[in-house]
This record gives sequence, C-alpha cells and structure tokens, in this order.
Amino acid sequence: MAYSVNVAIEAPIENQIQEISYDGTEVYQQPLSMSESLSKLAAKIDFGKGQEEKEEKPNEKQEDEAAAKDPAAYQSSLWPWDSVRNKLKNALTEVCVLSDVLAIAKEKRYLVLDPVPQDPPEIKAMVTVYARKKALGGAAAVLLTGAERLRTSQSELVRNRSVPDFHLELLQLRKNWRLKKVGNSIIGDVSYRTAGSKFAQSGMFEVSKAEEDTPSNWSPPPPQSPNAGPAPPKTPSALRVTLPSELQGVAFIEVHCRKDDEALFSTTVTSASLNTAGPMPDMHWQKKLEAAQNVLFCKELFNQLAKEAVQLPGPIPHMVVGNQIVASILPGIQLIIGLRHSTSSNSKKSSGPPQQKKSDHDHVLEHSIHQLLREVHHKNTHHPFPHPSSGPLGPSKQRCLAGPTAVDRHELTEMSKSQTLLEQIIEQTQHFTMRRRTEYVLDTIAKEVRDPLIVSHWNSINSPTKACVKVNILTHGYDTICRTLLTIHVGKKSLKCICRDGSVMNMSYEIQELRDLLICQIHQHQITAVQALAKCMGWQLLSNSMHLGVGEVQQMGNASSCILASPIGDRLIAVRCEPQAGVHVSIAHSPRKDFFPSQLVKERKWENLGGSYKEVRWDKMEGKNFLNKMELLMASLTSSS
Amino acid sequence: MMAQPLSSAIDTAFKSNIVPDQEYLLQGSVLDKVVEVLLHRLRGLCDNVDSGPEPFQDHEMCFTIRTTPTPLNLRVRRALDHQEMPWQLRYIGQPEYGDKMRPTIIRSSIDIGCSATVVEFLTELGCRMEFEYIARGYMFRKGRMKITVSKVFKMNQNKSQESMEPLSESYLVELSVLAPRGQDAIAEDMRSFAEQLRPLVNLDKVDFKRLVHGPP
Amino acid sequence: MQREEKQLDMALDAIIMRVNDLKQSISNMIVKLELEHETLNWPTFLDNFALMSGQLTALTKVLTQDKCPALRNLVVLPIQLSQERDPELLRITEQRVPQFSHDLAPDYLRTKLEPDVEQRMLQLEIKAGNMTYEMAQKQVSAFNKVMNHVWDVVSKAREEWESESGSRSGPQQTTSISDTHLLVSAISAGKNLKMPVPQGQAGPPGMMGPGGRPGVGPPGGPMMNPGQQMGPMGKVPSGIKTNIKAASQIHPYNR
Repeated sequence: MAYSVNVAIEAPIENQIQEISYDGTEVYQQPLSMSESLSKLAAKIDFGKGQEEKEEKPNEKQEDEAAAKDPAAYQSSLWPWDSVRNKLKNALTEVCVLSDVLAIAKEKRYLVLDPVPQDPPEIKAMVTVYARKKALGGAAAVLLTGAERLRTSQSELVRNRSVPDFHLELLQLRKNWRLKKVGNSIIGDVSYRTAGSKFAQSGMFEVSKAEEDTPSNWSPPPPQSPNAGPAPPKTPSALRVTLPSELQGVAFIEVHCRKDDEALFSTTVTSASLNTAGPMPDMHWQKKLEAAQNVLFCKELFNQLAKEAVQLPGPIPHMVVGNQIVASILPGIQLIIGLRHSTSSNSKKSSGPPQQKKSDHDHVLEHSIHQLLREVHHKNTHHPFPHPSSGPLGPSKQRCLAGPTAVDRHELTEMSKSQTLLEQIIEQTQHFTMRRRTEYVLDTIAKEVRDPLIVSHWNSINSPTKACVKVNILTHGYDTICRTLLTIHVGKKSLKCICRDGSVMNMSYEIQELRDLLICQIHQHQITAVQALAKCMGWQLLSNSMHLGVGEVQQMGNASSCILASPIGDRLIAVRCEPQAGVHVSIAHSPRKDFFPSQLVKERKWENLGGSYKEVRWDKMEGKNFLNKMELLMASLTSSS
Repeated sequence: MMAQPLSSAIDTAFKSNIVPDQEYLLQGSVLDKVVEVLLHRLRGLCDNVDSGPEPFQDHEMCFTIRTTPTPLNLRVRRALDHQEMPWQLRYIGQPEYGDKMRPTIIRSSIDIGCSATVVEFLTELGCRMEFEYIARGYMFRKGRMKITVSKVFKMNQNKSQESMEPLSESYLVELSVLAPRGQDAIAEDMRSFAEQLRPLVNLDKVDFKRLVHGPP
Repeated sequence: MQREEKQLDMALDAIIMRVNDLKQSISNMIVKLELEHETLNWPTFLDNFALMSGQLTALTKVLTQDKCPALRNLVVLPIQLSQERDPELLRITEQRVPQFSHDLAPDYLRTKLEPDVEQRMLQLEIKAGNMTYEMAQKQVSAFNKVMNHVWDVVSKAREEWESESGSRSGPQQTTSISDTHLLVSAISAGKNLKMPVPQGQAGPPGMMGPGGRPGVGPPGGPMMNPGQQMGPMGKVPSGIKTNIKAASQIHPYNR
C-alpha cells in the first residue's frame, strides 16, 4: 500500500454514517437508543403477516401433507417465519462484522483504533422524538389490545353467569367438605374418619365439572309425596358430585318394639311412606353429600350392632336377619332395629323385611342409637390429656390414679369393662318399656279409682335408664288431713317403691306387682285417713289392721280395716276397705240396746259389752266421698250427752 | 390371665414390646410475640379442633443420686392445676448414639405415677434436688404425637406463685412420642409434621450436652 | 497514555463480550426457527427477543459508562493488508476471516446504512425538517414532560408493589436459636435454674467459684460440687465442712 487515500473510516460502533458526501465529510446518524434499536429489530418482523400466516399455516400444512414429501414442501412450511429468519440473518451478519472488527482492532495488527479529534455531532431532537413516538406507539398498541381482550372476556363471563362459576362453587364445597387433589381429579371424603370412626368402608366422592349439555328445557319432576308441595326452583350447578353406588340414596335406622304375639304385616310400601323426597338426580350436591354421609353412618351403626348381636351372649339369643336385628328386651317384648336404605331405583318394596306402619318407628330410640355411636367416635379421638404434661397420652384419669392408689386386679378388670352399643340400647329400651308400663298402670288406676285421688308427678330430669315418679294419694277436701306419698323409681328391669312409712319395695318387671302395691296403698290410705279424721272428730281408734286376715281373700291387694269408738264410747264404727267389694261400714252401740237378762247372763252390767254390728247402707249414705261420708257418720253418731 | 403371677406378667409385657419406654423427641422455641400464631396453626393441624388447646401448669424437680458411678437423674413432675392427679416420677436416659442419621432424638424414658410423698422418699434414698422450674403452656396431640408449647419459669427463693420469672422471652416447643422399642417409623412422621411448622419454629434435635459443655 | 490505553483495552473487552453474547443469542434464535418452527410457541419466541433486547441494553450501558472513552474520537485505522492466510486471524474471528485482504476491508469497514434503514431515516428527517425550530423545541419539551410523567407513575407503582410484597413475606424472626439452647439446657441440665449459693464459701480447689453454675446432667462431668444445695428445697447449706459431716451422719450412703 503505497499511497494512503484520505478516506475517513470510522468504526461502525457508535455512530453509523448516514451519508458520505463527496468531499469526505460524513453525516452521522444519532446513536441508536435502546428503543430505536429494539424497534429496528422488532420492525424487522411483520407481526400482522405472522398472524395471518399462522392461520394459513394449517391449511398449508394440509396441502403439504397431501403433496409428496419433498424438500419443497419442507421449505414452504417455513414460509411464515421466512421473513423473520432473513431479517435475523441480516442482523447476525452485522453483529458478526462488528465483533470481528473489534477483535481485529484489539489485536492491533491489521486495525488500530486511533484517536482523532472530532466535532461533536449535531443532535436532531425531532428525529429522535418522532422515532421514539412511533416506537412507543407500537408498544402501547400491543399492550392496549391485550388489555382490551382481557376486559371483554371478563365482561362476557360476568354477563353469562347463568351457570355459576365452577371455581366459586368449588370454594363453597370446600367450606363444608375436605377435598384434596389427586392427579387430575378432586377427591373428597364423606366418612366420619376424622371424627373418630374406624369403619372400613370408605366414603370417597369425586368432584367434576358439570356437563355443558344439560337440556335447557328441564322441567321439575312431579312431587313424590303428597306433602312435598311444589318443587323448589332449581339452579343448575357447575359441579357434579359422583358418589359410590352403595352410598347413594337415603337411609335411616328404624327402631321399634313389638310384642311377640303381634301379627307381622307384609304390606307393600311405596317410597312415599318413607317421608323423604327420593333422591332426584339433580339434587344439589350439598344435600346429596349429606344424604351419603347419613347412609354411611347408618351402615356403620347397623354393622356394629349386628356384630355385637351375634357375639353377645344373652338368655335369649338375638337374631340378625338380612337388614334387621331382633333383640329381646323383656319376655314377650322384642326390639327390632332395621336399616332402611332407599335408592331412587327401588320405589316399591314388596319383599324384604316385613313392613310396619310408619308411626311405630320410635324416633327417640333412633336418636339415642345415633348418639351412642357418636359417643364412641368422640371417645376414639378425645383421649384425655396427661396432667402433668410429661405423662403418656391415652390412659384415662382413672387409670392414672390406679397406680398410686394401689388398685387391685379385680378393680382394674372392672375398670376396663365397657358396654357395647347393643347392650346400651337394649337397656334404654327396657327402661323405656318399664316407664311406659308404669305410666299405663298409674293412668288406669287413676281412672278407675275415683275416691281417693291419685296424682302422679314425673320428674322432668331423668336419664335414659332411670326415671322417677311421685304418686300422691289424697282425698278431695281432706288433703290436709292425710296424704299418702309414694316414690317410684323406674329402673331398667325393676321398680323400686319407697312407701310412706319408709319401707322399700323392689318389684320386678311384672307390672301386676305395681298394681297390687298401689291398690294396697290406696286402701291403706283410706283407713289412715279415717284414723286421722277420727282424731279430728274426737273419736278414738280402738284397733286397725292394714292387711286384714279375715274375710275373703282378695285377688289384688289386701283389705284394711279399723274400729273407732265415739268420744263418750257409746258408739262403735267398724270400717273395712277392700278392693273387690269396696267399703263396708258397720255400727254398734256400746251398751246394748237389746240387752235382756237371761238365764245365763243375769246382771245388767253385761250390757256394756257392746251390741252386734249392723251394716250401714253405704250407698245411701250422704257425702261426696268416703271420708266425707265417714265424717258425717261420725258426726251423726256423736251424741252430746 | 388372672392367675398369672405378677412378675411373669411384667416380663411378658416387656418381651412382647408393648411397654412404651422410649421417647422420640424434637425441640425448638418460638418468640413470645409470635406464639399466638403458632398456637393457631397447631390448633388447625392437630386433632380435636373443637376442644381447643389444653392448658397445663406443671412443676418439675430434678433429683440426682450420686452413689452410682455415673450420677443418676430422676425427675418429679406434678400438675399444679390438677391437684388430684398423681405425681410423675420419670427417668430419662441418654440419647442413643449414632443419631446423626435419625430424624429425632431417641432416649429411653420410664414414667411412673406416684403419690405426693415421692419427694420424701427420694430424699430418704439419698437424692438431692438439683433444680426445679415451672412450665406453663398448652398441649396438643396428633395421633400419637404430643406437642407442648410452654414457658419455663424460674422459681424464686420464696417459692410463691407470683414471684416466678420467665427464663427467656421464648416459649419452648417440644414434639414427643412415647413408644415401645423398634417403632422408628414414627420418627419420620414426626419429622414431616415438624416440616409443617416451619418457618415459624424449627423443631430439631438439640444436643444439650454439647451446649452445656460447649465452647465457653 | 498508558492509563488511557489500559482503559481503552478494558472498555473494548467489555464491548466485545457483550457483542459476542448478542451474536450468540441471535444465532440461537435462528437455529431455533429453522429447526423447531413447528413446535415453537409464542412465549418462548418473545423470550428470545426479550433476551436480545436485554443484551442491547447491556451494550448501551457499557458504552455510556464513564470508564469508556469516547469512541467517537477513535478511528479504525487499517495498518496492514495482507493476502496470505492468517491462522491467528481465523481463530479470533471464528473462521470467518481467513485473511485481511483488499476486498475484505471496504466491506468490513463500511459505515453506510442498509437501504431500508436509510430510507426510514430519510423519511423521519424530512418530517422533522418541516418544522420550525421553535415548534420543534415545544414538541420536544412536551414529549419530555409526558415521558417524565409516565415514568413517574410507573416507577411509583412499581415501588408500591415491591414494598407490599416485601413486607408481606419479609423474613421475620420468629425463633431464636440462642433461646432454644437456653431453654433446652435449662430443662435438661438445670442451667440458670439452680439456687444461687451464698457467697464466701471456702472449699476444696475442685470447687467452682460462686459465679459459675455448671450443668450437672451429663455423665462423666466434673466432680460434684459439694457446695450445691441439698435435700428438699429451701434449705441453705451452712458451710462446706458442716455439710460433709452432716451428709455422712444422716445419709449412710456414700455420696
């Protein structure tokens, strides 16, 4: 290189030369700002073209596939990206050149960076402004279109809210039930596992999106029971809950007692008699899940009871037949526990366990059974905490105290015994039966016996196995003079009666014993009342007997009697109260009126031995009741002289 | 079973591995100002959400007897809020060696219920009380795991309840299981439960021997 | 001079690095287009562009640094042109330039813009030239004001977001390791829990001073301190010798 041409060459890094005039001066371009260069590169891509090309692409692809597989086809499918690729290639070329020049210049062998003073470049502000405006406009347009699209989709969603949002409903569902995500599906649990149940049957259900093609002209199904009324308006739900088939439908435990000799009906019953609307396929998921949970609970309960019924030894073994458990409560009375499960498929039951009228079902006992199982669950989870806190979890307070208080083996075994569910419910039923019988006896006696009034007060606070009733025997008008109070404790299989004098009578479940006792007490009351009345009237009691041994033997109860003497002793009244024949009252005069000295008895003084008794016609006697009559009688017989 | 003599019954019990004589333990602490958050979280994680945390207030005394070549430590613990419950006499052994690999501390622990005269008894035996403290806090359970969150108070000279002073500004959190030997799987469960309490509290194995004899 | 040269070298190095990065990402993108054009998805595509934009930004930053000398003032001056292949050259230009020859130099050193870019710049210049200077100034200042305003709004919003997210999940101190150690050593070994021993006790040299309360738990620990409290709570030991004597009297077991 002999001559050096005066060509001003600059590195293309900073200011690219816009124009080289012929005299060598150069017009520089503004330094590339970031946005400019980005726009430069981005402008190399024709987005619009790319979009359209994308839609055309599947068509083209089809064409390509239809055509033979040749390199031409391969090339044409690249077509949408071709412009982009070319522009990128150009950019790559430029950048490669730049990097090469820099590398060579650094090496200082072929090129060298020589400092040359330069004029500061002219800054054209407007050009910059225009370029930047354009670039910002492009970017802003992209952002705005995106935002617009989002907004329209949101508003559309809000407008078309006929079907509630799946996620909102899922949130509602999660408020009531535990859900978890397994793989792609959402699984939930209706069982009582977390509450302490140890039942093996699982209660899993699956939650899925409801299908979109539910018919829009859905009409409400006809009401299935007469008292259902018009079906409530249904809103279609976005969720669908799939339950296992054995948990679908509605179930309940039917409990009732019956006597052995009742005939077994075998009527057919429709689902209407079950008093619950059958499960409609479109029932809201909450109700469905609750029904399924109930079904599971009833199954567990029945399972537990059946197991116990088979294992429990008893005087009369319990039977388990199909869906029914028959347990004997008292001789002659049986407890039937049945599991009733109806799904929408079987609306008529013509076979299976014999049907009884719905009114026999005892809701109270059913509730008790439910409560018993819930208690078992509760005990399974709520173990007592150790105090002090370093102790082991689990042993009850009794067990903890057993060590230091030196409890012996017998007590320990006693502590560990517990009652099974069936035993508990049998006890409760026994008590229930006893209570009903006691009520019946008291009511019938109160209806039959009008003269002393029988008033019974049942305690309102009682337990499932104990009740108490206070029976008051009093005579109307004379209740301040005498009342006979009895307390009857109704237990499981026995009654305990505490009488007025403090004596305790233990009676068995035979209700005639109670009747007997009450009748005795009534008659004793009469005689005691007469005695009290006599005291008021001034008459003296000569003798009395509560359980009279003379006269006819009574079928029920015992006769009682007493003999009263008037204040001056000239009249005697003998009263005899007996259940069968009622009341007999006889009067005698003390000095005999018809005394005549005879051969044997000569002296006058023997008239004082007292005359014979003459019976009073009690039904003709004036007076409201027995005591009233007695009072009048005594008053009439009291002579002032 | 009723006719079995007592000693063979105990032997059978030990052999059949039902006596819980091992304690698996993880410890940590949480500052006073965030203990409410921790209690809330434990309440949600543990069993029996409805009944809430169980408060407790215990007084623990540690006795040592020095006749054996290694001093033997016995702890006596009583519940101050449940005076009718028996006192607890407890022996805690040293943690097993090789517990770098294990997720929790494992140490033997024997609990015995006793009456209140145990202090006198131990004193007569020759034990001396080393230290005592009061722990007040809440208990939770999850399955077999027991979690206690308690504040440790130092008792003052006059031994009155009001003159306790807290030892630090944190609550001690302990996660423990009493189990028979060989049930190491529970340690994994404990570890995963402890993970759920992070980052509020870091339940971990704390080797107190190193702390006590550690760098001054 | 030396310093300036060194500065220049460093600046050049930085620039070369950035340019190489840019080159790499562009070539990656091309490769991706060519090979994976069927499986390409829009976000990845945009990501690549974002990467390139980031690299351009980095390059600009390097250029505007103070350390970088004004490259305007440097002219690329060819010193030598040779016809023969240079393996060294091949290496540093990645096999693109075998020799620095006559036909290479003009291509590599040209500064004219590409036709379409030139066209666009011309258009902009024409548009800008139509305005008077005052109007141009007004436009420029208005534009600047708008830009500043937008910049303020955006940066304020960003600050709010960052502070909000920061405060929510800020690492709070909920547990203190020292407290854990304190509590565990207290309940296991009785640290800080023992009753303070009354001062002024003489004793065997093995005894710790009144200030030190060693932990007693671990086996094989230091020898037992006879000055510690004995028996049921509340008893203050009277003196060392008395203690020992009393111990041997009351407790037949060897302590």
